[in-house]
Amino acid sequence: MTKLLETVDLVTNFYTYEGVVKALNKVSLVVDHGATFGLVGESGCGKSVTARSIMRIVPEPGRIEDGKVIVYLDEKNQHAGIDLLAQSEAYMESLRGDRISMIFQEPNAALNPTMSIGDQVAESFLFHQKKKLCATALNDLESVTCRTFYPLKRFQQAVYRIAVQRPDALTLNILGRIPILKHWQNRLKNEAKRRAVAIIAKLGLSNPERIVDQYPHNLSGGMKQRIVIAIALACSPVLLIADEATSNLDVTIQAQILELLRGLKQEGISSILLITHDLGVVAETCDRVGVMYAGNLCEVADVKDLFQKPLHPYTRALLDAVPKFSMEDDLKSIDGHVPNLVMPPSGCRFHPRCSHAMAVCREAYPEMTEFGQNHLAACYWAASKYR
Amino acid sequence: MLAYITRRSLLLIFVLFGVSVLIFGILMTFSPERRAATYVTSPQQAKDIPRIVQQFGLDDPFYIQYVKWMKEVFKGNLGWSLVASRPVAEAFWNYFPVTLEMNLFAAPIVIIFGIWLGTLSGIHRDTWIDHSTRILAIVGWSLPTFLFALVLLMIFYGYFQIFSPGVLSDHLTMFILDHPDSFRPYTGLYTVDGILNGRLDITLNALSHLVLPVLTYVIVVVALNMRVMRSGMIEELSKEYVITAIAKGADKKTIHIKHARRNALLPVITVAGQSVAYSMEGSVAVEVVYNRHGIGWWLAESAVQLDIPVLMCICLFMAVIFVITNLTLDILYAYIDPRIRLN
Amino acid sequence: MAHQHPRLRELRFTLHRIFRNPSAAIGFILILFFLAVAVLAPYIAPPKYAHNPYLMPHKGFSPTPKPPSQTQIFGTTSGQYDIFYGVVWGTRTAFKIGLFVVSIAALVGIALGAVSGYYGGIVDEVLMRITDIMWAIPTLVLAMTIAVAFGRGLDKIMIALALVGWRWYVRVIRSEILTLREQDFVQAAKIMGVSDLKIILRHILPNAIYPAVIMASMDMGSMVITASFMSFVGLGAPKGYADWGQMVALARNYIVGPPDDPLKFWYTIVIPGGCIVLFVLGWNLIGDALRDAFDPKLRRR
Repeated sequence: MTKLLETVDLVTNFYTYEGVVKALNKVSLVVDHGATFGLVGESGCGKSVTARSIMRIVPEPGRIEDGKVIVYLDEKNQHAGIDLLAQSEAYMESLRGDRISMIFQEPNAALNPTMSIGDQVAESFLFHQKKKLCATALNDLESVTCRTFYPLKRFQQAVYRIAVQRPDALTLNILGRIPILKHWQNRLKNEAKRRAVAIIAKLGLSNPERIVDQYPHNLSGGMKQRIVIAIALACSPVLLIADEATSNLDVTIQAQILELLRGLKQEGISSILLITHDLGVVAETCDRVGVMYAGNLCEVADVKDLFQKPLHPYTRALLDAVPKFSMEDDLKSIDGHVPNLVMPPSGCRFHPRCSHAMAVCREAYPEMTEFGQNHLAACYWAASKYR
Repeated sequence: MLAYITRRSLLLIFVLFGVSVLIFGILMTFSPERRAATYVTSPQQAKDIPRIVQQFGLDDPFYIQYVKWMKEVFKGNLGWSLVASRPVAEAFWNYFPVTLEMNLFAAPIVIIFGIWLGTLSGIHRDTWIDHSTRILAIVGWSLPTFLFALVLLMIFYGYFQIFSPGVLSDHLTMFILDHPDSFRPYTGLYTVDGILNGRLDITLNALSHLVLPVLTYVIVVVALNMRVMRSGMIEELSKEYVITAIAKGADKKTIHIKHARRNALLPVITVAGQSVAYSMEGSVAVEVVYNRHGIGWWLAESAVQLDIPVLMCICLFMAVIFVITNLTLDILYAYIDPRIRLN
Repeated sequence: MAHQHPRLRELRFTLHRIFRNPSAAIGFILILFFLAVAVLAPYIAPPKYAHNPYLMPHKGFSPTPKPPSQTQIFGTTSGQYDIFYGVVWGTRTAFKIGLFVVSIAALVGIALGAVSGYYGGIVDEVLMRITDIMWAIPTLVLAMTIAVAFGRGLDKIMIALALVGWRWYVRVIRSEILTLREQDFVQAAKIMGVSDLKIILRHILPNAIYPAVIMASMDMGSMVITASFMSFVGLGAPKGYADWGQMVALARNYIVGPPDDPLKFWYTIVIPGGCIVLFVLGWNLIGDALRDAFDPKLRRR
């Protein structure tokens, strides 16, 4: 397996009135090319913050304090890693939605209510594939079948020739602001829209030509989530981050969306970082799983290993809390409550709720250690017992 | 859509009816003799007010009098104005252009500046831009229009001796009165008439008289638009779809202009519309201080001289403006916000 | 802090937010200053006419204002009225106008809005249509018309403004209550059989009142502006009454001095005018800080 994404000791804090919320405490995880990585944990444990830190879209008043987010875009060259936290904002803009994209929890809020679906999907193409779009438009113009008023055609050809070379040339910028003349962009927009229709159709929505002219309020929740996925997949990214993408949907639609994501994986489009609190979803879709608790990654393993042989007491408790088909004994819950991250517990953040807590757990934070093949956990108790 | 507009129009007709009843009710507190003036159309008639009280039944019950009054209003007879010493309907068209002229200059400035400054401080929240627009807004709010106008007059007219009060300089007013043939009041707006009559000096003179009124009005009113735009921007920028746009790879400018601003404009349209509807209110103080004989000045003067027909006419006029603006806003809303189109 | 009553804790947090904002501090200082002047007015400027302390004392009738001097530290305005005395007692007038108008308007508006929003149905329909009608005429125009019907005088314009001012509160409170009405804690109280009045007073109003408080603070300023303008025009306080607007009106003909010294009579406008501006500014600063402090979206930062 080759690495696609690696976070190294990621630290993100939120500066609030109550104090500094230490949302991420040295999170290190690795997502491989072609793999689906599941990130699970209770709400508020830092799953979403991890995803947003990777994308560098942590909302105010949050700040990424330390660590690295390294992407290896080229599968063959594992030395050419790029640390995203060291890149410029412009570089991130070019990467977001193109190489790495993200889908969100709440499809009803994730779409701009006053912009047509087509425009919202087409934006992805306009941001990242302007050159390609211009080239297609130029081809169109130069083909024999194109019947446009001749001087206009000449003008547009001239403009598109510049655009194919340098899509953000100053001349184009100026031309884009002059009334009448700015309509040269229509061809570009139509081309983007054509592609939007294609990607919407690919996601299994019927009648895409009609959908592109509609607005978010016309669509159902499941349809909106498909549109959000369409936006994310528009430029065939290498990594798709799904932040609780199915949590707010009906169970049947949830199943459809998961099926869709699995289908995408089979086509070999992307690696997926799937963030969820639903262990069932993880068991069905993921190759590898990371368990998070209170801003810490406490266990990472292949999906089978994790379910069969959980090491960290928190993972065990989490698995015990899942309702099972053969309900013989009562459902177990985890005692205590999620710690306040302004003043997290010393040492291992889980120790106040841990039935195996030892003296050392209160004092020092356990390092991630390897237990068998590709199975990592951060726990003194597990280390004392299984190694 | 058509049903929606029809429903709104019906509601607005109801509002107009209610306003007329309300105003009529308030002014019924006057003695029948005073109210007789409402029905008078010439100075001759003014002499036999007692007969008019009889003739028009001003001692009759409220609803009978109201119906009679409404009949006269629909005939276009709004009564006799003491202040203008001519029929109200005729005087109205005399005063209206002065007010209109000022608002035509001020409204675009207020709206454009409000949106621009509001967007700017919404984007650069909690920076010096935001703080200074905020201070500007609060100070603008706290300045009574009449006082600000007086101070401007004191400084510019008194100290620098530029921008005198009034609508036009005296010698030009005299000229227009003396030569009614060579200067035709096509629109009643001196700035426009000056151009139409080929008298650019009159246009420029009228413009110079507009500087202070427009400045006063803009500074006092722009604050509201600005603050609404700012909070709209902040609210929109915190919404989830903005994050979707960022995750799509949108740059800051696209997010601000294409995504957030369009949605933030919705509440501003309401406020800007209301400030148009209420622009007369601001005009009162400005016109009184700068001695511009427009609707606002007429209202203040009529209130002091108890010129009842004028008060009734202006209240009705305000309500009509309000109603028309609201209808326009509704249509504009439906045009901008796709969510409204269906219901 | 964890063991305090939640509402008390919230209040502490709110107060912290308010006073973190420097503009709030300036606003409170301004208003406290004016309040002190208003309360201590009889000591700062002892009244000359015991029967009516609001009447400004004047020495002579000369229309030309006199500059500040030993006896009249702020000078005299047209008619030889003592500006200092007028400004001090004008503070009382301003508070009188503001408190009277705003408290009546807010009480009426909140009560009507609560009833209208909570009960809905025909009551709501009727009240809202009445408000719609009131809404169609701008405050100043309607207040002027009512004041004309009642006759001149400060008390008349105060009543007129109160009659006009309530409509804002109705709409604000109603829309707040419409959202609160459907919430679980209100439904729970209803199921438990708590009386409507108690639900409104105990559960709904404490959560809906903030926008009205902010509005009341801003209104204190704007009502004083409107009242002073009406006095300026000549509808309000009579000549010689200690009212800032009226004092500006007295000085109106003296905004431009003689040609050799055009700003000679500045004090006649700037002193009473400055009082209006600072008074209104104080309330607006407080209102602005309150809005920031109560805005749920800006909280917790």
